Amino acid sequence: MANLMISYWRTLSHRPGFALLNVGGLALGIAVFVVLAMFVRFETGFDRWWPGADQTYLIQDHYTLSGVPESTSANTMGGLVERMRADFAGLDATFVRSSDATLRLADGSVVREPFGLVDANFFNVFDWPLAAGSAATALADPASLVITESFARRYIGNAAPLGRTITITVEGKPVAYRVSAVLRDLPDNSEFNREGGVRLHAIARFRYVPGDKPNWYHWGSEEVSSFVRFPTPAAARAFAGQLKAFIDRRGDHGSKGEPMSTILTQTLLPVPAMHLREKGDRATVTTLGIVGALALLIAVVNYVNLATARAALRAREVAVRKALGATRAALARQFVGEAVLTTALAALAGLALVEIALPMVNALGGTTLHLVYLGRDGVVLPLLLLVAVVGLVAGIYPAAILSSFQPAAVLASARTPGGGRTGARVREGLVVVQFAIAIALTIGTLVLVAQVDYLRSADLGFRRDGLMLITSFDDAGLDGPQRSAILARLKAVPGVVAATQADSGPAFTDTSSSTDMQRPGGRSMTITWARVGPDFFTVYGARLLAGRLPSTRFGADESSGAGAAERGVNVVLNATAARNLGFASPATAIGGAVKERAVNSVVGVIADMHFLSPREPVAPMLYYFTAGDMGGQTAPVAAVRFAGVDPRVLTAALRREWLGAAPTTPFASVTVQENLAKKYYRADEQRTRLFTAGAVLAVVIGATGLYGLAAFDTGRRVREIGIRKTLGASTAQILRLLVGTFLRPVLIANVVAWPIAWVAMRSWLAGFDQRVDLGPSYFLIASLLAVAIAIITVLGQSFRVARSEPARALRYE
Amino acid sequence: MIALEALSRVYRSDEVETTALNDIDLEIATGEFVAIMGPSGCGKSTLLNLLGTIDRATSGRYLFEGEDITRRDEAALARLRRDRLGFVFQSFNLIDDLTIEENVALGLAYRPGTGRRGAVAAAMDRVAIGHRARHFPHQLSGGQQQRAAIARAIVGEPQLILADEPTGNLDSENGGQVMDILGELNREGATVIMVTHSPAHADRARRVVHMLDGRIALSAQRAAA
Ligand SMILES: Nc1ncnc2c1ncn2[C@@H]1O[C@H](COP(=O)(O)OP(=O)(O)O)[C@@H](O)[C@H]1O
Ligand SMILES: [Mg+2]
Repeated sequence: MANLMISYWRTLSHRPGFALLNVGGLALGIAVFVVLAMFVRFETGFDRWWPGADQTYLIQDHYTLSGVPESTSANTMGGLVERMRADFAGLDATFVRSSDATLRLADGSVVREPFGLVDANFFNVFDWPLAAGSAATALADPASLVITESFARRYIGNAAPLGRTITITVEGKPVAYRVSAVLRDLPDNSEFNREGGVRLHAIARFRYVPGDKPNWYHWGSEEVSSFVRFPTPAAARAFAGQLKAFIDRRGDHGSKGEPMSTILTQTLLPVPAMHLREKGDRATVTTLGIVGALALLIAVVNYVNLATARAALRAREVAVRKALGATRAALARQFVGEAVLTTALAALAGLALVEIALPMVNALGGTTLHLVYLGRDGVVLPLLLLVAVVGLVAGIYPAAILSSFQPAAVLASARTPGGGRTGARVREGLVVVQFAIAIALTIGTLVLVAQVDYLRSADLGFRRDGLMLITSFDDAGLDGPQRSAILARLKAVPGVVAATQADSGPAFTDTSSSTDMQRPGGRSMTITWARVGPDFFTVYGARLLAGRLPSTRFGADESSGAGAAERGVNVVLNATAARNLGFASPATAIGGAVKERAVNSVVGVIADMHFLSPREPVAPMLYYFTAGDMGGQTAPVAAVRFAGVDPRVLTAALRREWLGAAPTTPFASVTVQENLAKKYYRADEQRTRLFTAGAVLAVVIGATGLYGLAAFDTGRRVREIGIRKTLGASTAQILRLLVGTFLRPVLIANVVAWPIAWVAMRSWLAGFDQRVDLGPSYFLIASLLAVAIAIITVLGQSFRVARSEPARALRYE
Repeated sequence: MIALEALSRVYRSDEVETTALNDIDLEIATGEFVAIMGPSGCGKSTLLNLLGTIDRATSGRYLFEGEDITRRDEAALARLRRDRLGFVFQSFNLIDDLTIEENVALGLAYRPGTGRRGAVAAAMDRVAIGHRARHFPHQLSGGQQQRAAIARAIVGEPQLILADEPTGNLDSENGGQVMDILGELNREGATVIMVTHSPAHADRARRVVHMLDGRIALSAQRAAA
């Protein structure tokens, strides 16, 4: 062992360039692998942090409605758990209604905080660790409040929180809550602790007041997230098997008498799987993991290639050792030992790289990864395993090659063995593998970047710039007349061009209603509808395809007010709705009839506005116009079209005006660009950045490997080059020869990479409703890039040799 | 055909400066068979390399057929080697990874034009190595390897053949064969310049140039036999 270390150290110190390439490339590969493995572990490790997590299931609704794409929802009607308990004795179930609460601070200002309204049974299903209080009594009282440690610090300070009273306005009603328990802070990797999503920092019991929430028992409503818990997976499966009968028994559809289960199925999703439930999420995370593994693979291939290339140079050493009596096993041990030592060194350097790079990675990827060395999540143990495996894999082939040389032949011949043509072929094959991976990753990167860029600039059917959403507009503390008054004041703010209110807005999902509609005598289908105020279409810059926009000038346009709903009113459709309803063109839809409760008349058709996820097709929409107040069951959002003013200045001005009109309701606004980015684009952008970083590094690692290989190959061929030049080869011809040797595998790599990348990227793009074309340019650019990198890398090595006087080369041994 | 005027070659490394060739003046006529002799390290190989344009002189002039080629660029020299020169080395300098046939073909590889196959076969037959065409160099004896190297040197029908101790690694029988071939080539019109340690082999040449410490000590013309 000591001998091995000494001889290893000599190898390193005698060939510092080689050592740097070998250790550096491997270190980079290990660093990329570790970071992406940490990312994958983080993303797939959501919500396993309490003991019962894997026994707990989210109930998902899947609706199959005519006219709209099949949809899966993480939300159910409010009364679902209650109905289930009635039918399944002893069922452990609860629900969470995520809401917003308003807190009045000591200085009189108001803040909005995410708030959880839960079923009293909550802590029986979620046995989350408490810092103070007891789970059994935490929600015993309707005025009990459970808060996290950080929530307590923020709003109570250092005083003991238990028993303190905090007045919080939830869903429009102020309640004096008493703190009954303190939750330990939820970890970062929890679906119950999401920035801008469900965040259970403060929890109280939901109180159902009949008449207050008429949709509470309405199948198809999305009031809460419902959870059930079972001691064994078998029990969960048994329960899931009874859901169809339950839905048919309890479901209230059946307008045509068909069983509810024809349009609704329910499934159980394990809570740890909630995080990556959206279409494409799991594939994206898996892909990033694969990128990490491939980067490591490229680095290992480098090691094998360099080691076998170098075998030529070490053949004499091996022959002498053998002549001195070393056994094959001893030699194999030596070379595997060297590989393991190199990998260990590389692992250390890789860890250092990870530490250095993590802040940047976190900034790029929007993650909060950090290195843990020891313990259950520690990196040291897996890394030791990695060192052993990579060391073995990387050492065995060179060891086999080296120790199989016949000493007599090597010593007798002036020729350097180097594995001969077979060795060269294996190396060429490995270069093909490396570059195929690198090229495929480059194609992937180009397509990913193009697609996320495209999403930011694609035609959404409305003008996304210069638009501000007032998201606090739907606060339950406001009624219709208040909203109208606020809107009037906001319109007067300098810089505001126009303002409107509607049940619909970009990335605004708090309110959504859909109903069966049909043309008289036609097929019934589900269409999403929204109330829109005056100027809605002009504020958004919608494109009118046919007819006219609604206006107060036409009495029949007004949808609120006495008798309007029974009489039928004028409505606007989007293009998808017009098409789905069977109108041949937007123009033919004008004057057409669409029956909901009454028969409405179409006066305008607009181009689809992509308000929601770019992954989903636009739903068929019907717009009811109203110039009146918007109160009632569903809450609207306001949108402001502005110009000539900085959004931050505008926000401050809007806030001042808002607080003048509604001092007890906190103001919240967001630009449409930011709202879309936050909800729909950012995750893809961040993952694209991680992918790009991983891919670029993988290419760099591949290039270092090629550089090292070219260095050895050129070194080995110095004499050959001298001979060729003596025979009249020009410098250019020599360069062509050397570059060609490496270009061949790179060109073959293209042939391997293209179909793989095409299939992968086509299926990724298929996940988007709006997407870039998978044209040939991505493939050509990636290939040109790979070829250019290969040429430059090899040229850097060969140029000097190719230019030098042949006489010098011929003296070289 | 060749005239060297005050040609010098100095090797400089970090500390030492070696004058391998010191002010050489030499003329060689077309069709001559010249042997260069002298103790090891006296500059024979350096002289041959300069004659073969695979090394550059430090000072002096090199006239090839009356033209000063001392300052010619790389590409022009490569063309000159390709079209008019043939090299034979003591250590054969065959390329390990290529077969004998491929090695011989290399002598034509950098020329434009066709008709190679016939020329390669003819060159191999001429040195009686045709039956080993598909072998690799390490599968051949030293004499066979040197014959292959000669085939490579002559496949392009060079006007000037430069041979640096072509028999140095061969036994006397194989050495004799190599000398026979060189003599035959000379009779057919090629100019041959050969470095040798063997007085017997030097005897085959029309002129013997003796070198010492980078200088020409004696240039002896022999009477035609
Ligand atoms: N590339 C080189 N670098 C330094 N010195 C060299 C080089 N080539 C030859 N020499 C020196 O030049 C002298 C002449 O060498 P060489 O021409 O090979 O001699 P010969 O062929 O007569 O044995 C020797 O002293 C040798 O050491
Ligand atoms: Mg010599």
